[in-house]
Amino acid sequence: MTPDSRVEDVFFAFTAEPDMAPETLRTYILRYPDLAEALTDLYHEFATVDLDLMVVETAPAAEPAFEQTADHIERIEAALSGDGLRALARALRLPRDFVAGFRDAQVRPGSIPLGVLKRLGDFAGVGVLHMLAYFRHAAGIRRALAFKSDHKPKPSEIMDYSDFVRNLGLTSEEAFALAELEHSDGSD
Amino acid sequence: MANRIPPLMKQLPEGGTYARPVRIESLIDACDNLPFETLIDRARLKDRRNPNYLPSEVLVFFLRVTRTDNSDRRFAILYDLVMNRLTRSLRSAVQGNTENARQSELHERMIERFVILLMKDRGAYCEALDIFEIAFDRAARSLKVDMLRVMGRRVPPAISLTEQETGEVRQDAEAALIDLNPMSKPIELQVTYRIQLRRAIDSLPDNERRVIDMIFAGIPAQSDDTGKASIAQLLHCDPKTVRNRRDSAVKKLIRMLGGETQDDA
Repeated sequence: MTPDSRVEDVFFAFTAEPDMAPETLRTYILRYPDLAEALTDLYHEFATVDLDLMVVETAPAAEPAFEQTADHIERIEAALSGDGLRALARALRLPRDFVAGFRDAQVRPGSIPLGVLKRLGDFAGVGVLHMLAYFRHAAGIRRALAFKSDHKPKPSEIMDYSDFVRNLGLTSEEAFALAELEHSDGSD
Repeated sequence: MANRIPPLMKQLPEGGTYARPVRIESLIDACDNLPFETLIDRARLKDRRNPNYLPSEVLVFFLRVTRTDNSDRRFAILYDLVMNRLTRSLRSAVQGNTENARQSELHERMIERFVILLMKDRGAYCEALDIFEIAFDRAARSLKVDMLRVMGRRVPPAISLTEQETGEVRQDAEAALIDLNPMSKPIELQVTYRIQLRRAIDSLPDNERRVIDMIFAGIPAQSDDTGKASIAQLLHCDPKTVRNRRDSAVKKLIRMLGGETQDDA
C-alpha cells in the first residue's frame, strides 16, 4: 500500500463513519496520529455539513456548476483547430483526424476516456471539467443542426469513442501512442 | 430475495466491502424499475421533506450505471443534476463568495476532482467514487480538505475576526471550555447551540480551530506520558503554543456566542 493510498483509505473510512461524534475523531486521531491535523480538518467540515443538513430542508435553486467563460472556449477552440490542431496531433503522435474528430464533435462526450480528456485539456490549458462541458455543448449543437437539415437526421454521426477510433485506421505506432494516452488516469 | 443492486467494491480495512446506508440501498432498489422520466422527476425535487425526494447518493448510483449506455441521454441529464447537487453542497464549503479568486479556484478544483473521478469510473470502476454513494455531502467536503492540501493554503472564512485583541485572556480557559462544550447544554438546546458553536469555530484560524476540536474530542493539551498522544505532540508544537491558541480561541468563541454562553453557563 502506498502512503497516498493509505491516507485515502483512512479518509474514506472516516468519511463513511455513520456517527461523526467527538469520540469518533478521538478514535481516529489516536489510531492515526500522523493524520491528526487532516482528520481534524475533515471532522470540522463534516460537523458543519451534518448541521447544515439538519436545518436546511430545501435546497436552493439550481445554479450552473461552474462558469464556462469565453476564455475557456477560445482556448479549447485554439487547441483543436489550425496550428493548435497540428501541434496537438504531433504532440500526441496521432493523426490530425483524431483531433479534428473532437473539433467537429464527432465523439459522444460520455464515452471519451479520462486520459484523452485530460491530455486535450492540458494542451488547451483548461480542466477536464471544461473539456467535457465544451464537448457536450458542441455535441448538442451538432445534434440540433442534424435535425434542422433538409435531410433525415443522422444521430449516428456522433459516435462512441471506440467506433471513432476504429474508423481512424491507426498505424501500430499510433495505436500504441493512443493506448498510452487512454490509460493515463488523470491523477493530480 | 437476492439483491439486484451491485454492491460497492471499495474494500474495508478489516475485509469485505463498504456498503451503502440501508436507506440509500432501499431507495435505489425502489427506483430501479421506475421509468427514467419518473426517476428524473423525483431527482429534480429539492425539498428534503418531500417523501419522493431522492438523496444525492441515489443519483450518483444511477449516474454511474449509465457507463454501459450506448447514448449520452441519461448520462447528460443525471450529470447535470448531480453537478447541481455538488455545487449546492460545495457552496457553503467555500462560503459562497465567488468574487474571491482563491475561493473560485477552490470551488472549481473540487468540481474538477469529482468529474475526474466520474470519468475515470466510466472507463473502469473507480472505488474512490463509492464514498459519494455512502455520504455524498461529506464526500464533497472531503474534496475541500483534499484540494486545500493540494493548494497548500487556506481560504479565509466568510466571517473574519478582524477585531483587535483587546480583552484580557480569560484565566479560567478550561472552565470556559466546559461551558462552551455542547454537552454542557440542556438537551433541548443542543442542536441550536451546536450550530452556533460550529459556525463560531468555523471562523477561527485553522490552528486555533484544530486545538478546540481536539480538546472537545478529549485529547489533552499536553502529556507527561510520552506514550500518550497530546495536542502539542500531534500538532508538533510547544505546549505553551497550544495553550495560547486555546486561550485565544476561547476568548473569540465567548465573544461570538455572546450572552448565550454566559446565560447558559
